[in-house]
Amino acid sequence: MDTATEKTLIKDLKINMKALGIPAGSAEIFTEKIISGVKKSIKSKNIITEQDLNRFVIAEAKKYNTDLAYVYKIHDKII
Amino acid sequence: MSFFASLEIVFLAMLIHAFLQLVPSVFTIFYHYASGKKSSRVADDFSIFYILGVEFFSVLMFILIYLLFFNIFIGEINLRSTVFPWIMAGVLVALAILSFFAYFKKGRTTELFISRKIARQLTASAKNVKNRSDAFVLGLTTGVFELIFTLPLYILATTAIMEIDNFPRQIFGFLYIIAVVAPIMVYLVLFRRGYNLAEIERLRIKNKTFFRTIETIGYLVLACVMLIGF
Repeated sequence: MDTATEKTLIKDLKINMKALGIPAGSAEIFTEKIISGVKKSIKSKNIITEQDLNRFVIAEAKKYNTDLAYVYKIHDKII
Repeated sequence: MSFFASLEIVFLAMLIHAFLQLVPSVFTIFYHYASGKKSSRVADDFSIFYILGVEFFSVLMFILIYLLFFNIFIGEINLRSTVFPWIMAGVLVALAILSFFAYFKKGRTTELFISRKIARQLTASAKNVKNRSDAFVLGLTTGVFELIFTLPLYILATTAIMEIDNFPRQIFGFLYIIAVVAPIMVYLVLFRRGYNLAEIERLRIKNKTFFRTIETIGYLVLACVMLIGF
């Protein structure tokens, strides 16, 4: 995962967690854990699409907060 | 048309309009991201402008239809003596069928009838509301994309309101505009009471069939009222 993608993902995760009412301290820890989990998942892959990345984020987010995972899952399927 | 037939048409149109889902869907995304990027207070502030955008579009539609129907196209022609009720009833039956089979896409989501390209664009716009004018424009454009389902309702409500005598017509216009934003107010209250986007979305998915049924029945009843009452 390149730096720009990582930064965007961190920013997006923080926005979603704040909107979901997850306390700032927990949000910081969750973000770190989700990012490291996603990095591990994509380590062995040469090419990943946006959908793949989204899938890994959902899988990692599910471990810490189901609402966060759900928002990632449905964010482009609300309208 | 009798006073009660006009009243029925206006209230049925209001009811159907209040159950349409595009405006509240965009609102939930917009509010979620606005409160995540800024604060709940700012999101509330932007919400007022989103609501004003939706209201502004509704008022524009009422004025436009009034001008077209009563000043340009028809003038003094009596709507009852034309094929107008039959055309509108046909359109309403078609919309009832569309509401039932195509308003929501299949699956456990609240994806709507609009094209995926427009849906993506609306989602992106809702996520990136930066100021009050963005929120206002978003409300206004969302109203435009729902026109396929709302235009007949605006036409019927305007013509029914214009047929009302011995009663201040503005009250019905005002009530209609309130009904248009009623679902947004409901979601706003839910957000303020601590519900988040995930919970609201689960609630909407759970009630998808209910929304669809109300819309379908509403359009069908309105079509009958058109034929009997007009």
